[in-house]
Amino acid sequence: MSERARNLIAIGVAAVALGVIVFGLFSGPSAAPSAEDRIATLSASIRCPFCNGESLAESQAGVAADYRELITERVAAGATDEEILDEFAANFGDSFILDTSTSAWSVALWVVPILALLVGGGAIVWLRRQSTSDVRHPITDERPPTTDERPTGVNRRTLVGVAIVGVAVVAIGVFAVKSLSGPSTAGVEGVAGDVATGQGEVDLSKVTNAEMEGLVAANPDVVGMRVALARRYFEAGEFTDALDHYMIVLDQEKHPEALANVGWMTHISGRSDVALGYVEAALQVKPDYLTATWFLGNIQIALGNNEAAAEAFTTIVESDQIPDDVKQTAQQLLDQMEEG
Amino acid sequence: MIALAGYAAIFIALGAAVAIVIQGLRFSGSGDKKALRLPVVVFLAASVASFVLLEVAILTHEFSISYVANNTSTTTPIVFLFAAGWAALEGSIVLWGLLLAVFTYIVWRQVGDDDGLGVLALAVIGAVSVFWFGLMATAANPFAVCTQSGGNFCLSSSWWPLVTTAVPTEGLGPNALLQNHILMAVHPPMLYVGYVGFTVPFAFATAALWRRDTGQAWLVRTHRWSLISWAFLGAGILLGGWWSYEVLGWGGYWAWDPVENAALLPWLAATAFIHSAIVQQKRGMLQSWNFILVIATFALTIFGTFLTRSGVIASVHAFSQSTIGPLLLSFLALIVVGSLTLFAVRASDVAQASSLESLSSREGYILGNNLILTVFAFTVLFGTLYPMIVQALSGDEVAVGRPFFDRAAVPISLLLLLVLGIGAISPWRVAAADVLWKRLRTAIAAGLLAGALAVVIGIDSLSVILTIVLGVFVIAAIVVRFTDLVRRRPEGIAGAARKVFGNDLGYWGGQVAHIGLALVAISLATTSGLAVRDTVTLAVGETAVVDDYCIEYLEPFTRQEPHRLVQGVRVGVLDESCSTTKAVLEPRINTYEGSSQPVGTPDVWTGLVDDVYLGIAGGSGGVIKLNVFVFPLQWLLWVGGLIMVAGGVIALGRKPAGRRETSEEATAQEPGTTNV
Amino acid sequence: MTSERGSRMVWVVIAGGLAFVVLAVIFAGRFGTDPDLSSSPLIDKPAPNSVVALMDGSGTVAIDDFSGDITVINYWASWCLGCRTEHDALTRAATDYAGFDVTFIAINYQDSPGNAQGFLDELGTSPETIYTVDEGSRTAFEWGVLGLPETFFIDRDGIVVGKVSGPVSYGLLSQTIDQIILGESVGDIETGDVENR
Repeated sequence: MSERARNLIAIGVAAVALGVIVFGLFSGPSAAPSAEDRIATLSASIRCPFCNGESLAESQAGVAADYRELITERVAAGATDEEILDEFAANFGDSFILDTSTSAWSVALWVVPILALLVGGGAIVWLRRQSTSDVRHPITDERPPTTDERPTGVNRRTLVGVAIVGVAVVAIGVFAVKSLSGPSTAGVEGVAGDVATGQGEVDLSKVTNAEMEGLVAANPDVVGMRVALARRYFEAGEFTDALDHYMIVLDQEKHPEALANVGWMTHISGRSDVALGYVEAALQVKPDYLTATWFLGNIQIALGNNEAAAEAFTTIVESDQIPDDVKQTAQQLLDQMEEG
Repeated sequence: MIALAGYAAIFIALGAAVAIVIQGLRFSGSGDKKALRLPVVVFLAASVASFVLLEVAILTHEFSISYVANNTSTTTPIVFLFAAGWAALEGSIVLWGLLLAVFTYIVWRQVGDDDGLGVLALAVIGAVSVFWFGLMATAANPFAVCTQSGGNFCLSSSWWPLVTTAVPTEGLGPNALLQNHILMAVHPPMLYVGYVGFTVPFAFATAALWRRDTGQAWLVRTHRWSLISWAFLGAGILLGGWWSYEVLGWGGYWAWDPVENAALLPWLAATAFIHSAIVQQKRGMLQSWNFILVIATFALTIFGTFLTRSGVIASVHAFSQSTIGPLLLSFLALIVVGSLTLFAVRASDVAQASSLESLSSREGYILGNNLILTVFAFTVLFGTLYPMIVQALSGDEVAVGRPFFDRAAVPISLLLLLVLGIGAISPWRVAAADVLWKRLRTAIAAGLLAGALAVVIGIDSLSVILTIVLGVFVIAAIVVRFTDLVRRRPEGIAGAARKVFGNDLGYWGGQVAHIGLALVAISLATTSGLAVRDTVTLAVGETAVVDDYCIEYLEPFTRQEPHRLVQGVRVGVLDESCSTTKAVLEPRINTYEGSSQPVGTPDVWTGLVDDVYLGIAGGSGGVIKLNVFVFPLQWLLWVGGLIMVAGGVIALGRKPAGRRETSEEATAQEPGTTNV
Repeated sequence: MTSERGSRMVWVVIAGGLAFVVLAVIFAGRFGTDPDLSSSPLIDKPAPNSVVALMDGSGTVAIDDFSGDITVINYWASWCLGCRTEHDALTRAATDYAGFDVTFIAINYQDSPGNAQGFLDELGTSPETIYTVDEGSRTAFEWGVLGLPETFFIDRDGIVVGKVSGPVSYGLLSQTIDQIILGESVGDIETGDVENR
């Protein structure tokens, strides 16, 4: 057979086949995926809770079977894929949806590998361009006689390199060990902290002080509870009751709020020198405790330490977590001190 | 007693590894291999001893050793007892150490007299060994003795062996999933041979950099190590997929789990390395790139180990939480930062002698596929780490799973096949368009014809059709090239074929692997794109039709084995009209001693085209609920994978050599005479 | 030429090394945290009105039946070790807070009726707790249960204000309920291992 004939046969077969493929693939409407296929795709797109990262499709856990059943029911009931995924995301969180195509984060996920491909392709083309210039050079693939005679001793670059390696490895190692030995009960401490600072919105309408007393009596060792009750008394000006509870708290731990408020009450009762000790202790436990700083400024004025007071009020004025009216008062006090 | 002996063996091995490093550094100038004889032999003996002692402890049920008590029991069948020696964290490191020691000994045997590079490479292997045996001596001690018994397991153990031991009366037994199939005994060692094997090319590369010996020597000498490690790693991954398919019962073989990805990554990097190493040997190009690839491959093996054993990522394959994560991460950091710094310091010594004359040439296409493989690896790595990166940057919790990887892998793989098909038959240096057309025209027609046939029999998935077109194109291109060469020879067909093949085992081994890859790609496409899934609920004697098959529920059965309770059903697979029985399958649910979680085991019938795959989904009161999957051409995946591995083994027969300049020229000028 | 290319390669390598160091630091920050755990999207949202079957088979209850009360929902199973640890604290708290309109609902998850009853027979029950069972994991789905034990807290307005993953102690339980009585937010709390099977 001649070359020409071979070419013609190859082109002919290829053209006809290509025609069949294009016609076959794009003529009829493609069939909608069957319910079973949708269930399979969906369950592969949802992470099974606590199954070591497996999807619902792969996991053998009983709960995975239950959720596959649930998906089957949803599909049978006519829910769209999106609705089912949304339902899982709403209950478990976005991190349970393995199909990230709808999330904003997926853009970077796709863009970065494509960029890598383009950069790499560019590098190869660049390599080709570079080659054009030295293509006439003789091709030598062996290096000139090497090594054993050449100094392999330590030079400056090597030293710098070793130093970089050392620092990086030690840093990573230390960081790793540190994070491993970190407290695993951080959440529990966080709860105590919340109670202490009283950041939450207190809804007094539902619980009476008497109810609270009952609670505290039933749980004598629960500090957060008692602090909350003492705060109520403190804010209501019932200092005797507040002091009683705060002192019990202080027997159990150096609670910053208890320290600060006991200090304030002592100050109001006229013992500013003792009060100073409490407030300073509060700031020691919690240096960024602005209420205590505010108290400190007032107590220092009472004690005549204007400089220390000014320092405290400056902290208040510069803070962005303080209501403006308090700031204004602090500023006025500062101005007064400067004048007098 | 065994604990003490085992512990001593580990310390002796550790000492010997230190001695290998010291002696290797001292004698790297003179290249005196005899100086390393004693430490290498002691290292091997002590490693073998530590492995044997652990196995003896397991086989004799020495429950005073924590590892034995917590991973085996008296009812565990002997095969799984033996496999327990490497099935859990500490034991896996013992096997790792054993392989390292064996490889150290082989490398030592291969080192010649006055071989400075070889001796220094041994020092590097020694340094890697110091880390692993240091791990065994401290944080992951396989011989830690039990100090507090929990009855049928060990509650707490002691690092130091000379303490009063508490002996649990019975052991906990292996994880149920691990004793459900014999493949579990084989799959990890396969992977480990691959993982550990890459230590050798890495050691030679860094030793070469250190000695400014950046020519071909390290590459040529480690060529076989790379190929063997690549083949074993591939075989290990394949077996893992097969195990997943046969045991896990969800009807798949690859879930893009982080740890699966961690095994795929070094394999991809190694595949790129094997190809770019050929380019350096033939054309003197890509010296720097080869150093980077070999460092990346080794670092990725350590990275895989880290992911599996540190607990930072949720994965079914991960060993239970352990404290060795920070140590592994530090080691990985040392490897990556250290070897990259070494490379940076020596970069000016690495030659860029030869040049790329044309993008359309064998080396040009290999370069292209190197890029595609690297981007593939990068994409898998990036996707695996992406949730962590996003969380660190923004605190958002996102997940990246099968949908992303599946979608990303398809275009990358198709591109890979296309470039592979052209590159495999291209001449070196310059492949002119008319030469390529002549060599490819039949393949193009064949690929498109196969695609058209697929459309005619009713396949309407674009990605499946494209994969079939490109897969057949690759296979046809290689076959046409082979027959062309055979026909040109004067001998008879058989003799000529033997001659063509045997003259260049490296090239034809590679082409066999390429054919395997094309088959694997086709199977991946058909099993994921054309699978039929159904769930049927049947009472005894009832039948249901799924796809082209009829499923008949015959009877339930129960049997008590020493270590497990087997509950299953007998199910007939018949033809569409429910008249001829093709097979009787027994999907089961196994409940193991000491494990409350039952493990489902599917059963599979493999026909000429389809696999019919049955798994128990539930059922009660005489009714059984079955998952029925039909996977077309599933068997092609295992066969194709096996062909790939075989191709790697065939390529081992290649005489390691540098470029053959004269025949190169001949190839470039007169296409078709030889295929060097 | 060669050295120029070499130095370019060096920059590439340095960039790669830096990227690795950043990654390593990210990894290092994750040691000791459970990669399977994540925060609950239900916090500060209205509680799902789940309907659960009573364990004794006498009917069903809905979460909304207790609106106006503070409701503590505890998911448990007989196979869960943490549930064993926390059981006593839960029964005590249920009794102690009975006078404060706090309702405890124990929901049995992924368990067999026999084992579940055995667990309760062994460890005791509180008359103030409603023992229910989650058939087909339907309510676990609505509540986004990740593993066991998990305890959710609903305030008097029917808002999910807190969730504890891992065993609860009496102290944590009472502290949390007290906070809710005071109208404070609780959020996600992790106390230890969560299990699943």
